[in-house]
Amino acid sequence: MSNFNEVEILLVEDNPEDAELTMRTLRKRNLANRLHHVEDGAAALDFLFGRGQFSGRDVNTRPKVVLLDLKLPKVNGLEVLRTMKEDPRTRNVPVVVITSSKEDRDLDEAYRLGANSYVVKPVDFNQFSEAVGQLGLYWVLINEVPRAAGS
Amino acid sequence: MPVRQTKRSLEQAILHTAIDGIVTIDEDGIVRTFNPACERLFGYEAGEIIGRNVNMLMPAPYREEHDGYLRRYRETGERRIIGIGREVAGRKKDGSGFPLYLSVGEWVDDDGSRLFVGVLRDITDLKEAEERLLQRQRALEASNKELDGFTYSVSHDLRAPLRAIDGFGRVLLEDHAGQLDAEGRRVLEVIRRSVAKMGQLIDDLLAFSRLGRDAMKPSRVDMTTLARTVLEEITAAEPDRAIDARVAHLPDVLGDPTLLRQVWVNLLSNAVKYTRRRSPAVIQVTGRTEKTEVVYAVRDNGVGFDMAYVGKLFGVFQRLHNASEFEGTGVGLALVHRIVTRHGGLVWAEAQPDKGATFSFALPRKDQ
Repeated sequence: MSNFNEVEILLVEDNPEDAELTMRTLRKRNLANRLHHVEDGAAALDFLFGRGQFSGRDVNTRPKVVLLDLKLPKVNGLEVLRTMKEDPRTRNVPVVVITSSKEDRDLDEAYRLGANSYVVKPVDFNQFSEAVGQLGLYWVLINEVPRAAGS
Repeated sequence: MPVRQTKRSLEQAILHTAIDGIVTIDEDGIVRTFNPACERLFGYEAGEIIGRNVNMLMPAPYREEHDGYLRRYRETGERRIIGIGREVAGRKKDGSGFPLYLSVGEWVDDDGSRLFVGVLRDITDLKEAEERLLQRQRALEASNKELDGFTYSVSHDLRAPLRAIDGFGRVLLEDHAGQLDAEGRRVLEVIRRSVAKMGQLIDDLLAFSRLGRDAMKPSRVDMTTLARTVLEEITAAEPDRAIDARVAHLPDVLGDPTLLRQVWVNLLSNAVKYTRRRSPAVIQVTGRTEKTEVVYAVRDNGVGFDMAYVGKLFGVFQRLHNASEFEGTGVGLALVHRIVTRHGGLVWAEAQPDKGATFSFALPRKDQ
């Protein structure tokens, strides 16, 4: 979408197939109208902090949720998470790690860094779309976040 | 004095026949005696050394340190080697260095002068073996790390394309169903089933590799409760079948509860699976305590197998039945084998085709 200030879901996913399937699932549930998709960790940070190609974006209007893959080019997912949780402007943005990795060390590290949720992408598409649909529903429609940054 | 002479010659005999080098120095570091083993070690003859400073047997920088060390000991009594012994470096006549183990004793002679007796052993072979071991350990650690990275990418990278195959197959079914006939839909179902199977294979393989990496957390395990709970879970998933399953009272054991649970899950679900054609299926779990081990057995009246193939039973991805007959990835018994082996135990099986199978495993008894 073109108005970056109205983005509700920031999808950070480098795998185009996973991204397409995720967006399709959210679209089917009418949750993808205000979704923006970036393909690497550096772009995700640029978006969140209104830098680079997103320099016009108001940092104080925050997405309702960031869907974050862990294995990303340039800046990896855990690094994005660390940066977000260390900065008062982005600390309160919920981050859902959504990844293929079931490895304990990734899980432990993600929660230690302040991830709000951790979802392992199932291979089975029915389970996958169920998982993505549910977390979209929860974080976009049900969950409430504070209005302004750092508040 | 004959006694004195005997003692003297005994001392000489010890000095001359000792396999270890023995050297005596005075308070100034001047060599008083140098036995034949020392001559062999350093390549000097006793005559070349006696009367000279012992530091010529040491490579720099130990040579310079030695004088200071002797002086400090005389002044302060600070001991860095006397009565302790440690590894030091020696220098041969040809200038080459070698590692040696040195222990030093102190001794006051009849005339009141203080002497130090050093016993030296060449530890070149030991150090070389140590170095080889260390290199081997480093290589093992590296390959372990590599394996770690490998399973990590298996977990991560192999799942993604599978998800795409499954997902886009589904998209085809949902969005383009009108253009597909019955055969087209059947083919897509085959693709999706194969994907599910591969997904299961990856998960099993990961579970298997994780077994080798995770540390065991042993505690006392109530095997009776564990086996009963697992069996109930498995039979609950088969409400339409007649299964006569009994778990006798089993001895406790010291082991990792999560891993041992995995053993029961695999053995009992196998028993339930391979008795599918029996009504009722009879499954008996028994245990006994032996002198040094506890032994558990799962007996069923299922299809069994030919003992000719028993050697393949516990290998990874080895299967004795067709997938169309009995589903499975061939990882379950390999897991059982690995877990039991990690506990220092043994697992074995006895069976006859169509007459059922008995899987047994023995774990070491650790009563205290």
